[in-house]
Amino acid sequence: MKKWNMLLSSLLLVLLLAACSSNVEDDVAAPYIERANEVVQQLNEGAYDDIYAQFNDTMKEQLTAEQLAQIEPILQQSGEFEGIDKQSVEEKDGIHLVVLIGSHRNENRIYTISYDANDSITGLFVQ
Amino acid sequence: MNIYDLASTMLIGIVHVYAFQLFLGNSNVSKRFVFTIGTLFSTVVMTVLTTTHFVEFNLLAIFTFLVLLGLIEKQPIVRVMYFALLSIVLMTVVKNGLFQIVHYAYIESPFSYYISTPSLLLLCTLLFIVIMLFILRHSLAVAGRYLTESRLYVPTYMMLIMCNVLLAIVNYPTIQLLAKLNAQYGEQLYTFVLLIALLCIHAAINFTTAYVATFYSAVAAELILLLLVTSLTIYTIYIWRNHNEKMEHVIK
Repeated sequence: MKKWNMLLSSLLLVLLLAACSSNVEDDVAAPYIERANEVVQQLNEGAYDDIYAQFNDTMKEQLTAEQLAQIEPILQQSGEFEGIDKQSVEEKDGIHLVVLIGSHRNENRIYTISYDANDSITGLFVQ
Repeated sequence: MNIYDLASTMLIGIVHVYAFQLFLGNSNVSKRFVFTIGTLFSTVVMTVLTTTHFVEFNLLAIFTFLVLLGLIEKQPIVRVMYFALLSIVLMTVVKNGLFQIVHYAYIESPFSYYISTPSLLLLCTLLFIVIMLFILRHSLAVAGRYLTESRLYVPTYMMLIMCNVLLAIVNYPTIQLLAKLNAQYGEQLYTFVLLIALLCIHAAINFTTAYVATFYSAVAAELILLLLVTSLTIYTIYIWRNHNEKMEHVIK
């Protein structure tokens, strides 16, 4: 019984630790982080046309610049944008997912931006 | 859906079934039973949700499953419904409240944040809840027995029914009536947790329209509700202990 408990605990620990590592090298991640930082700045400055220009064709069909502008009241609730606290990059099936924790005056926001193989934005999520 | 989401889904079922069994008084329920039934429970609920796409059916499926489980154990239906409502409200509030606190603490911590981090944090929260249920198993069985034997039974029954209705309203319902209530009063309910008053008193709702649910108010709302439920539990145990001391004195 003790052996099974040890085995289960070790498996759990391995699973937990597996979630803590990124699978992208720093030199590959750096340009994506820089681009994602710019997108977050543009979102908070209201430069929706500039962000729209970075979308891939599928995103352009699904989300127009006017629809993107609907995020403005939500970001205003969070207060003035102060900077990025944390960033990470993961790669899955050729898509690079950048997660940024943006610090605003009232609260933090999580920005998730995904880039395809052509470095165009294929996903944008703010929570 | 990653492996953490899958594990969390299974654990949610186990948490609900285990809490329900403890409140029914089965503090020595077998782990194998809880694991099997909990997994079956999660599978049923996920199937219902995936098939119907009605979020409120989630609540209905959980309630129905727990009531049927209690009836299979030949418990009275009124008592079974009471504990089903109690375990749904308590586990939902504790899970959501703890998760938001842990999530907030993680964001403020120096650790990196990944796509899978929220899933992992939810898994850790649920594991913690399972461990706490195991540690407090005898206390929960005692509390459950006393709640049904004391004068708190009827008021808590009404409160639990209201809480479940509110849970159905604040969790993004799709049925038209509930969705309308959510659109009009959802933010106020979630922010201030004025349970019955917010539904019945239109003036209180108008007063609170100035406030918008933000992350901090959501955490505060969850903490307030958790505090209310905890206070009620502590008060129940206190009354039960006083009652027991009186009975011992009478017997002597």
